[in-house]
Amino acid sequence: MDKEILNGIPEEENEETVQENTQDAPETEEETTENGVDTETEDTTEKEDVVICSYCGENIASEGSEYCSVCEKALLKKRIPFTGWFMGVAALLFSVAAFVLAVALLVPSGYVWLGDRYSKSGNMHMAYEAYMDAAQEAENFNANINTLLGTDYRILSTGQGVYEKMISTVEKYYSPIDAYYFIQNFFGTDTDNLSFAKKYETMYNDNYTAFTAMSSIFSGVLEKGTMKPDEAFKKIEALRGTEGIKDIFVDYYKFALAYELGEPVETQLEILRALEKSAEKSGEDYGWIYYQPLAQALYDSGEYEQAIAYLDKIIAKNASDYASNDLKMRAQLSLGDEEGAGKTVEKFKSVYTNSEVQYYSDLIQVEYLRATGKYDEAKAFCVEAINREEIPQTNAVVNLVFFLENKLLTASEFNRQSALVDMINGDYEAAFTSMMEAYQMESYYAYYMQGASSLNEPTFYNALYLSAKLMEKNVEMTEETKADVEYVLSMFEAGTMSDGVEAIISGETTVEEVLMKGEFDLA
Amino acid sequence: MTVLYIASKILTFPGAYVKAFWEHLTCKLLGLPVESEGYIRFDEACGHVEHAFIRKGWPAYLVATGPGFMNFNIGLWFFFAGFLNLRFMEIRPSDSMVSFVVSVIVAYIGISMLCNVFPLVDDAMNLYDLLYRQKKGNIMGRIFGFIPAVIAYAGSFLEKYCITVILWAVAMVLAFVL
Repeated sequence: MDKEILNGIPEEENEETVQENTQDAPETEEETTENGVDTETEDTTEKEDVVICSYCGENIASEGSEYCSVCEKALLKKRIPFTGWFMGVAALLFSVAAFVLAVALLVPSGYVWLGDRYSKSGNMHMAYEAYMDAAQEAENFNANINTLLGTDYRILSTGQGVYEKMISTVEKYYSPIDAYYFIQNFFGTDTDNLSFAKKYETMYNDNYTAFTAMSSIFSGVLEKGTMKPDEAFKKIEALRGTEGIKDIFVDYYKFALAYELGEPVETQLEILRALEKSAEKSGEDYGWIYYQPLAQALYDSGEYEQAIAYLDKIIAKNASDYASNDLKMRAQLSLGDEEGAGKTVEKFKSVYTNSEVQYYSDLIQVEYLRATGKYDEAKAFCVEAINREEIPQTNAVVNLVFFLENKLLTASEFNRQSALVDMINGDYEAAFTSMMEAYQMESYYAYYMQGASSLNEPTFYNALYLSAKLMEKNVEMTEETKADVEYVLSMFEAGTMSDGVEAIISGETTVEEVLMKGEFDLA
Repeated sequence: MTVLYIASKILTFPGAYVKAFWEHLTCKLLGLPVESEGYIRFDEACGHVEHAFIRKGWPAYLVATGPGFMNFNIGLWFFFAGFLNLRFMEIRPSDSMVSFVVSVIVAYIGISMLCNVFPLVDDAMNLYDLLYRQKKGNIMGRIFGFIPAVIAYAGSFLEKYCITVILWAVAMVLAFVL
């Protein structure tokens, strides 16, 4: 029997099949010949070619088939069951809908995946942006499809889990209390069905209870002047142990009062150390409440290494935190570690590489260049930063507001930075021009965006005042410029500026000296 | 092992059933007699159809890879539509019970289809034998068919020992736990 009769499967590979198909068949022709029984050869060959139908097992199979003609006909006539057709066609049809859904989900899911990655690497700013984009993309899809179909379906929805992650980034970027404000803005005040909101609500309530209890003390000592600071501190201390008021908030508001009263940094440090102990005793993570002020107080008291240790704790949780990275850079520069400061700047910049907002990474860069005496580079970088902002192409309405806000803030701050460099270089005219530009941008921002502008920030008004004062003292001005300078100076009261600015004006020190230590600015 | 195999087919019933349907349809289109009465049977051919032995390369290739190809292409989108909703968009019962249940079902159907993309071991072996031992079919066909044939060959064993189902289960646990 040849391989064709054996269904084409080689003997060595398909023993079972071979045995099955040959069990009833006589020995092969070759074997017969070998045995020398020549007379039986013809009969044996006839018997060998007979294959029984493998379905009925009775009739002889047709030539080239394993079935008899009757069975083969019957088997070929067998219909595909209705359920088979139903499921196959249904699967095919539904797969089209599944395809559309899957493709639509790819973009928002991709953003969530990105957000998770950023969040894991401590880049809370970018993580927040990515989660927001995910929710936005889902909404955009729904809006587009509904416009197209004239319907009102929510085909894509963003689960609470994504919002939970988004809120967690707010918590890490700012504080749990800010996270609670975010929840209220996003979901309204009814947060009963949001399981993740509970811990933020508790934190908010703890803070609110303490604040309410202390508000009259704060107003008495800071606004009305009816209470002396010592008395105020005692009254706050007396609240310790009161039901509903946690020790950590008693310590925190003691620090807040000391800070507002401008108490010496040693006193602030003492209160913050007590705050740290209360936090450790509570067993909860209250780093958000005291790491930053403690690091600042340590920095102000010249304890740079200790300050860096606390700043590293913040950065480990939130690598995109500008204030901590900026203070760390300044602490490293104060220690003479220019290389370390450069690394801090580069690491921080890398966090913002793909961000729509380059403001903070540009700002730290220009501050570093100025603080390390690279004035030309710093000035060139300011121009680059101002010119960088372009109108985004997508999501026009939403982004236009965002763009304007960003544009105005960037133009204002980098003109101010440019003015600082000009003042160091003794180019007071250029410094005043840049500051006037910054002032204009800041005024636009305050007027159009109704946002909290930097006009009331010490770094801003000190720079504006100083630039006008230096112009008045050192430059021969046109009438127009003179009017501008007088207008600026008329806004401020002499002697109310920062110590550094007053010292520069009185000639006790130089702009460069003030800008190369402490705040590295005109605070 | 057969019990485990049958269990895996029952566990992935929608995919197994649809896969058998595609096999049946392929056999019909190729004019191959089909013996099986049902698609889900309690034997080693559960989720497949028993058909006449194939002696030509191209029909063997179609029967071995075509139904799997269909299940893969349909299952992939079902899987993504459900999985992305659950894993990335984090749809939970608290968000919307309907969305959650639909997403779970869609993901399950997708996985069940993707668990049933490989042919019966006999079909895979026959295909490999026809194309690469007996060298039936033209040279170009054999070259282009090599990778699918090898995948079908290896995959049929994975499916026979329920490894595909186990791998999917592990992947899902990792995806939602990690």
